[in-house]
Amino acid sequence: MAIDWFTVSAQIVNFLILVWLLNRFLYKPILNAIDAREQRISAQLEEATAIKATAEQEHETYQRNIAEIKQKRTELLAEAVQQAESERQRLIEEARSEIARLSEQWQQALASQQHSLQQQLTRRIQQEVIAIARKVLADLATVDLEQQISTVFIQRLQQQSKQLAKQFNAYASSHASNALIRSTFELSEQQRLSIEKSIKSLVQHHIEIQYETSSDLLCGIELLVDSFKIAWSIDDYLYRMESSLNELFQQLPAGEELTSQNTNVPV
Amino acid sequence: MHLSPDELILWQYGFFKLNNTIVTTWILMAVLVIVSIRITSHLTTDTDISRQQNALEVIILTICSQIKEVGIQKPRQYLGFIGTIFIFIATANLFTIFPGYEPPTGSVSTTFALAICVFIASPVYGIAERGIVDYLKSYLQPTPIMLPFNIISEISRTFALAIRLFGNIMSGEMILAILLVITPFIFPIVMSLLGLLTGVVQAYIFTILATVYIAAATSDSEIT
Repeated sequence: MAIDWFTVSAQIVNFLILVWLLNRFLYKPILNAIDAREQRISAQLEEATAIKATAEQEHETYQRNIAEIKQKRTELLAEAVQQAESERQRLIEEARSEIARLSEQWQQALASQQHSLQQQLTRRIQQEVIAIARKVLADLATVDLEQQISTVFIQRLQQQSKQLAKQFNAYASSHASNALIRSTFELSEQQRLSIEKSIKSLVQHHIEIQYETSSDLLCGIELLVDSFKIAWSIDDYLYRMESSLNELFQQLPAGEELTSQNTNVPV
Repeated sequence: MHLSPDELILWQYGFFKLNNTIVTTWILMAVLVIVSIRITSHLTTDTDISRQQNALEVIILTICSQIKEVGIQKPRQYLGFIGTIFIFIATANLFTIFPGYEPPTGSVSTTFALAICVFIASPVYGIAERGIVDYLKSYLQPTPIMLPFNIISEISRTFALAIRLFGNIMSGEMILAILLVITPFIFPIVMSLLGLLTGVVQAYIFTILATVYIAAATSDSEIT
């Protein structure tokens, strides 16, 4: 176990060289790498902290925005619901008014049609009544309808002689002494004479009588002295019949009327 | 059979000679430097590092933490010296795994050389850290009467350092050689494994003691 001092000194030198070499090629590079990594990690951590702070801030901003959007959405939704409700009410009102308008139109159309129908019916009945009366009078009594009308007119003049005479004279004296006899048919000479005779028996003054045939009258005769009038026609009968028909129409159920008139109602 | 690898002289020219210890040391130095260069040439500062770099970083940071644990506050300043002691001794001892290899730490010349390095480094670091007066005053602590004892302590601990390492490694080698003669199977392998463990432990002990001595020299108030 002798100590070789040359080896000792050589090993000291070797060791010092190894210290230098390892310092140069091992410790410094490794420590530098570690330091660099630590710095890098530290920088990354700082950056991550900053990013996290920013992200948290943005998160808060987004949360706030989302809350605002939700609130706005709720408000808009409520507003939309309110608008929809008001629009619905408006449409319902419009529909109601439209229905009322259509109903009124329909009622008017119905009334118009009813009126037209009544007129047609009245005209037709009038024609039929006149025809029937003429035929019945001709067949049973061998009497002409026009003759009988003038007879009845004369009878009416005579029946109302007192009252009519008073009124007639009052009018005739204060107004022009002209009288107009209007009839739906041409009066015969005999009929004219009978009527003139009846009139002259009522009127104390002289009166000029004119004759006129008019289709406006419904099968009758009327005496006109200015605005004063004495008449007979089948208008009264027809009027009563028309009233009766009106009552009948009004008694009909509304459904029947609607059903019968449905096709004529504009949609 | 020879007790020390110093006895195997490969080349000699007068006073200069190349024995097995010196040559093996050169080989170890070459291996350490080449491996260091190879690994450190591919160093990366990324977090994704190679296994070799990771292993080296672990070794170096462990040495640093051990130095710090002993009481030296700036471990990087002493890493070159203390770290080289550990790496050199540990490598020299671990290479006994190769058949025919004789560790330079089995030579008393090497262990004395390392002990002398520690013996010199300790006051050098102490003076550099504390100043020569302050350092020399430490020899008079706690009383001037202790001066000769402190000096003797310095010298004797250096001898103890050298002999401890030499004794352990040499004895391990000797036991292995004897066992190879007596029972060539199984037992030498077990002893070889034990020798590896002993080698690393001895490297650790030598390094820690050297660190303690340097720490004592650099910071007298902390280590007494």
